[in-house]
Amino acid sequence: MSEPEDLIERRLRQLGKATESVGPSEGFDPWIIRQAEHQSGTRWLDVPWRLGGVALVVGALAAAASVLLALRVQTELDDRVLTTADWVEIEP
Amino acid sequence: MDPGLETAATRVAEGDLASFREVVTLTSPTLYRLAARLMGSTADAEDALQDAYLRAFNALRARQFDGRCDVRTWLYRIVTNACLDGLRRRRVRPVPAGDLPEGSFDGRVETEARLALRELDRWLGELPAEQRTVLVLRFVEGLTSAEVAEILGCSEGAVEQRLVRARASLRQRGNDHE
Repeated sequence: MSEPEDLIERRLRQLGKATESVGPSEGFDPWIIRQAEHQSGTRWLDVPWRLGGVALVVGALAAAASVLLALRVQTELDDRVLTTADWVEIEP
Repeated sequence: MDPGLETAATRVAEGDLASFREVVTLTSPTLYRLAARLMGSTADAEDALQDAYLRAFNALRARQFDGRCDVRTWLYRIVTNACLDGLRRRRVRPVPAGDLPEGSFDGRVETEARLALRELDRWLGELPAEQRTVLVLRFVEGLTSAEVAEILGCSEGAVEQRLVRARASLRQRGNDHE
């Protein structure tokens, strides 16, 4: 009973060996490659971590700008506080 | 495991879509041969491979590749499924064996390979797609039962069972032809 099974396996292995040279032609180039290369330049922000990174940088810049603005306003307010000497000068 | 292939696939998943060319360059000779053996025709193999690479590209982009097996095994699975779909379609709308279109072949070795491919197709042609697939993966591709099970997403026991049924069908066919 095992004889026909051995023959089947042997023939299939022979056919496997005989088809080893089968391969794509030189110009085989799935269209999806061109599609992928075309998209690679335009979909940079599609990647979640890149989008997150951009959001983080923008957020950090906005926070820094807010702090700078607050400091500047505070400095201007400080400059406007009149000292006792100023009052002496103003008072007749 | 092929580190170059794993890296290229990871880069595609991370958004470097142009790296998909590297995935194709590294795998197309093996996968084309697998598709040709499963389909029994180079023209059908090319169609199945185009379909398989499209599925792989979309899955990588959608981060559906979970890394539970290596990329090569995962691609084997995708190509096998694309070929199974192709074989089922062909069963519904059969193409006469003599009319199967073939890709361009040059040289003696390739002509022999084409003839062997035709013989393989003729030999396995009447088997159900699942039985044909398991025979090709196990004996023509020379994979282990465990590897075949991983590609087909079933147990090793199921692979062995399909092999027994496929051999029985081939023996029966041999007896019928005698």
